[in-house]
Amino acid sequence: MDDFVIQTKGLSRCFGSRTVVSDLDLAVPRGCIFGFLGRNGSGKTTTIRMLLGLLEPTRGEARVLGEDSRALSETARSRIGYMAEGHPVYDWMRIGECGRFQAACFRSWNESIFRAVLEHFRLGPERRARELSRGERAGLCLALTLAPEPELLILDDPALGLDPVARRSLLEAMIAVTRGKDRTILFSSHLLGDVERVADWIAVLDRGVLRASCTLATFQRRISRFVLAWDGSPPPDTPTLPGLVHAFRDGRELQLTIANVDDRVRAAVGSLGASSVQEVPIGLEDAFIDYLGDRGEKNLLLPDPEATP
Amino acid sequence: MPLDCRISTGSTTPIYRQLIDQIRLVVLRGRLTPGDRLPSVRSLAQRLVINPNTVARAYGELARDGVIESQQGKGYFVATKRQVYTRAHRRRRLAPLLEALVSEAALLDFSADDVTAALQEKLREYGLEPS
Amino acid sequence: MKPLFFKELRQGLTWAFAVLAIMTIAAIYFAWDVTRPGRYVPPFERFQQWSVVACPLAGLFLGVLHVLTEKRRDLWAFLVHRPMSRTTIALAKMSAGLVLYFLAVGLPLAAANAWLAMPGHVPAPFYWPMVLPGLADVLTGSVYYLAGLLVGMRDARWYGSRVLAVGVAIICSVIVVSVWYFWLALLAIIVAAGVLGVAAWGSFVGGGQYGPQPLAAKAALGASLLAGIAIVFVIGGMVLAAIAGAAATGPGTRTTYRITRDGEVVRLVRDRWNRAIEITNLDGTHNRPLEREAQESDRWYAMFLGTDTVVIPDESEPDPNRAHGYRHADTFYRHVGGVGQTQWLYSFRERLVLAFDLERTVLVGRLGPTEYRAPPESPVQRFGESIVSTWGNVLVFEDVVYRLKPRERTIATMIAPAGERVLALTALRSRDHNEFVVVTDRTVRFMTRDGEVLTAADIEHDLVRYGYLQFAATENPQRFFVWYSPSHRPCVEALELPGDLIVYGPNGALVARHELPAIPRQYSGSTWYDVALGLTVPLAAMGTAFVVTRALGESSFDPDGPIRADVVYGVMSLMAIACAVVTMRLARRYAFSRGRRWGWSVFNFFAGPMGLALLWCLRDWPARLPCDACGKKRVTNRDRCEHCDSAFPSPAPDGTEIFE
Repeated sequence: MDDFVIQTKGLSRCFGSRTVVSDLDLAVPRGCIFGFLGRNGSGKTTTIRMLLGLLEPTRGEARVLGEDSRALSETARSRIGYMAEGHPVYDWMRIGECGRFQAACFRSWNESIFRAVLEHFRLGPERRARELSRGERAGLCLALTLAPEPELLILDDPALGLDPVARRSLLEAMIAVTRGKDRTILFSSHLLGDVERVADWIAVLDRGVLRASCTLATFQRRISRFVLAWDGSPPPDTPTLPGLVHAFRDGRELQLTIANVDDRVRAAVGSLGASSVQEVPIGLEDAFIDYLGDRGEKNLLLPDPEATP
Repeated sequence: MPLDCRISTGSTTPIYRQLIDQIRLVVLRGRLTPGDRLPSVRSLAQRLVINPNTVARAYGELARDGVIESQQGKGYFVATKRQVYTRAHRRRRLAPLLEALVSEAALLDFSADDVTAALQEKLREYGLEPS
Repeated sequence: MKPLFFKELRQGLTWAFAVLAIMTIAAIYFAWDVTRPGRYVPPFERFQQWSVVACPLAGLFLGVLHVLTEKRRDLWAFLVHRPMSRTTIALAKMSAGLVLYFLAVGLPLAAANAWLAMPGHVPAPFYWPMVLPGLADVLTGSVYYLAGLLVGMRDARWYGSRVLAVGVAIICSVIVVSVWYFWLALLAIIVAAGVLGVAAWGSFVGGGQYGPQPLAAKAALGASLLAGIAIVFVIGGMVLAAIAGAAATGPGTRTTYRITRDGEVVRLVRDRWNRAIEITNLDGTHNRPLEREAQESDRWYAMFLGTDTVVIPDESEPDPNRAHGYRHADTFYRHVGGVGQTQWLYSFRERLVLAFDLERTVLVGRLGPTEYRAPPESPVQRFGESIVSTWGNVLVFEDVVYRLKPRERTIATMIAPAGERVLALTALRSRDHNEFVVVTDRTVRFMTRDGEVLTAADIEHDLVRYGYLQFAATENPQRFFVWYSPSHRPCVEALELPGDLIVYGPNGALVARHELPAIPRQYSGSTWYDVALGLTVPLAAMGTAFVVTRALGESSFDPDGPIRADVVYGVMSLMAIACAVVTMRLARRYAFSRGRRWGWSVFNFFAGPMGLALLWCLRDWPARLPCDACGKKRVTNRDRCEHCDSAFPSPAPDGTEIFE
C-alpha cells in the first residue's frame, strides 16, 4: 500500500480565465487528520470537489485511494465518506428514512455507529430533516457519512454554522473515527481552535496556491515573531528579509512575523539596528492570520479620530 | 486517580507542551505517584478532544525526560524519580526561568528577602525543604 | 438501484400529484365540453386537441423540476457520491420520473378516454384506434419529460442554449401531429426519446458539463441543440423572408388563365400585391374593358367564374379515407348531414350511415343502402368497400353515387354508371353548389342533385398526365367548362404541356375548345430573399431536401421556381466555406486536437451557420491566458503552451513556503 491516500499532481482548475486552483501538489498521508486551511475563496471546496470527481480538473490529476479521481470506481467510492459543504440532506425525509436510504446504497453500514452519532446529537428517527437546526443537520450528515465506516473521510467545512457545543461533538466524533487503524480524515475549516485541537497535518491554500503542507507542529515551529524596539525612530521602510510574512509598526516598535527563520535571517534581523530584539512566542491563530494576510507591512488606513487637522 | 488536564486553544503554547507541563505538575505535586498508570493515548485524546498523535508526542517527551515510563503492552506509568539529564543540562534549562523571575521581581520592586521567602514557600509546597 | 428508484419516486410524488390534480380537472372539463349536448363535434379529435398541448407541458414541467431541485451543488454531491455508477443513478431517476409522469398524465387521460368510449356518452361511434392519438400524446409528453431533465441538468443560461434542447421534442410533436400513421408517430417518439434520453443521461454523468460526457451523449446533445437551433433559424428565416419580401423590387408578377362570367377565356397578370394589372385575350390583345373594370375594382376576382378543382387520385397515394391521418375523426367516419337533433355519420368501418341524437347522445339508427334500422337491429346490407369520397350528404363509391335524405331516413342513388369507375365528385361553386360534376374513368357528367344529367362528355385526356381538372358552369347561356391541366406527377417536364379548356353546351354539345399554352414560369422572388436563404440554410439541409424530393419523385422542390438557384447555391457554398474556415480558425485558436478540429470543420461545412451556432452553444473551449514564456495567449487546459511548448510555471516561491 502507498503511504498517501490522496495525491495530486499539478491539479488546476479555471473558471473562465480565473484560476481558482493552481498547480496543486498535495499529498495526504494515511492515518492522519489533515486540516485543509485557507481563506474564503482560496479554492478549498473546488479542490475537494475535484478530488471526488464532482468537478473536472482543467489540468493535472488527482489520485484518491490510488484511483484517478475523474473515474472513481464504485469500490473506491464506498471507501470514501464525503460530507459536502452545507450539510446536504433531503429535506422531505425523516431521519430514519435518511438512514435506511443511505444504508441501502452503501455496501457496508454499521447501524450502531449511525445510532451512536444520532444519540450524541440527540436526534430521534422520527424527525423530519426539514425541521432540524444547523447543528442537528450536521449531526445527521455526520451519522450518514460515518456509518458506512469509510477509511477516508473528506469533510468540507463541517463546522460551518455550528454552535460551540455541536462543534465539540463534531470534533469528538472525528477523534473517535481515527481510533480505527489507518483511518484518514481530510477536513477544511476556518476555525483554528478546532484545527489546533484535532489536526496533525495541515495544508494552507492561498488564492489557489499551496503555501504550506506540513505537520501542525512544524508549522508552529517554523513561524516566528520578533519584536524590535528602537530608542529613536525606527527605519521608515519595511526591512526586506527572506521569509517575512507580516510586519506591524507601533510607535518605536516593529513586530515582524517571519517564516523559516534560520541563522542568516536572525543575523539580518539583528543588523537592523534596533536597541532590543526579542523573539516572542506566537499562537497558531496569529501565525495563520499573519501568514495568510497581505505580505509586508500593512495597516488599515483609517483616519485617526484623535488626530488634529 | 484522574488526570485533570485543561487544554486551551489559541494560546501561544502548543497543545503538546500544555499537556507536558500539566502532567509534570501533577506528578511533582504528588497527585500521581510512581507506579500509577496514566490513561491510554487514545482515551486521553478522546477525553480532551485532541489529536491522539499530540498525546503520544507529549507522552514521548515525558518518557524521555524520565517523568513517565512505558511498559511494553501495558501502557504508561509514572516513573520513579531519577535524573536522566546532566547537572549542566539542568542548569541551562533553569537559567531563563530564574532570569524571568528575578527581572519581574526587580520590576515590581520586591526585595531579595521577599523573593527568597516566596520561593521557599513555594518549594515547601512541592515538598522541597531546604536542607 | 432499487432504493434510489423509490427515493426518486417519493421525491417526485408531490409534484406528480399536483400534475395529476390539474390533469384530472382539465380532463373532466374537456370531456364534459365535448359531450355538451346540442352541437356536433368529433369528440375524440376535439379532446385530443387539448391533450396534444397538455401532455408536453406536463412532461416538461415534471422533467425540469425533477432535477432542478437536486442541482444545488451540495445536494448534487450527496446524490452522486455513493458506491454506484452515475449511469445507475441516472437510470433510477429517469425510470422513476417516467413512472410518475405516466401515472400523473396517463391515468386521467385513460379514464377520460374510457368514459368517452362508452356507448351513450358521445354522439359518435367509438373504434379503438381513436385512442391512438391520445396515446401518442402521452408518449410525446414523455419525450418532453426527458427534454425537461436535459434542460434542468445543463449548466447553461436559461435564455441561451439551455432551453434549446427542447427543440427535438418540438420537432417530435410536429411530426406526431402531422403524420398519417400512428406507427410513424411512434417511430418519431422513439427516436426523439432515444436522442433526448441519451443526452439527458450524458448530462447527468457529466454533472451538467459538456466536457466529461461520453461521445454518444455529446452527439445526442449536439443533435438536440441543433434541432433547437434549426427551429430558431426557421423562425428567424421567416422574419427575414417577410422583411425581404417587403423590400422586394423585382417584377414578381403571376400570370394565370381565367374564365369570365361571360364564358370568355383570358389571361390575367397580377402583381406582387395581388392586384390585377393586365388582362389579355388568348390571341394576345389587351382586353381593355375588362382591364379597366379590374383596375377600378378591388374585387376583380368577382368578374371571373370560380372553378372547382378535382385532383385525380394517384394509385400510389394512401387510402383517401385515411388522407387526414390517424389523428382525425374523418379517418373513421364522416359527417354527412343532419336535421335538427339527429346527425348522420358515415362510418368507414361499419360501412353504414349512423344516426345520432345530439341531445341524448345515443345512436338512434343505422342506414344501409336499402333500409333503415333502429338499434339493436342493424341493416342486413352494407355499403360497398370502394368508397371514393363524400361531399356534403353525397356518398361517392366507385360504382355508385348516393345522396342521403336525412328527413326521409333513406338514401337515393344519384347515378350508377355501368362499366365505369367513379374517380371524383365535386359540387360547382359557380352554380352555388346545387349542381355536381361526377368524373369517371371515361366520362365527365354535370348533373343536378336529383340525378338528372345536364351534360356528359368523354374524358379527352390521359388522366395521369392531365390529373388536374377544373370545372365551372354558367346558366345563361348554359355552358359547362371542363379544363384539363397537366399534372406534375409523371415528371416536371409534363408541366410544359398546354392546358385544354373545353366548353360544352347541354347534352354534350361541343361549343368551343381552347388550347392554353403553358405559362412560362418566371422568377418571382427577390434577390435579397435568396441571399438570406443562402446565408441561413445549411448545405446539408438543402442537399437532404433535394435528395428526399427526388427520391419521392416529387418535383415540389424546384430549383427554377420561386428562387434563383444560382444565387441561393452560390451564397450557400460561400457560406459553407466561410463556416468551415471560421471553425478551423476557432479550433486552432483553442488548440483542439487534430481529430476534433477536422471533425468540426467538416461538420460546419455542411451544417453552416447552424453548426457555428451549435459550436458556440456548447462552448467547449478553454479560457486563454497569456503565456509567460512567449507572451501569446495559450489555452488553460493543456500542460504545455501550444505556441512555444513551455509548461505552465509553478507558482513562484517567496521563501515563506513551509513544507515537511
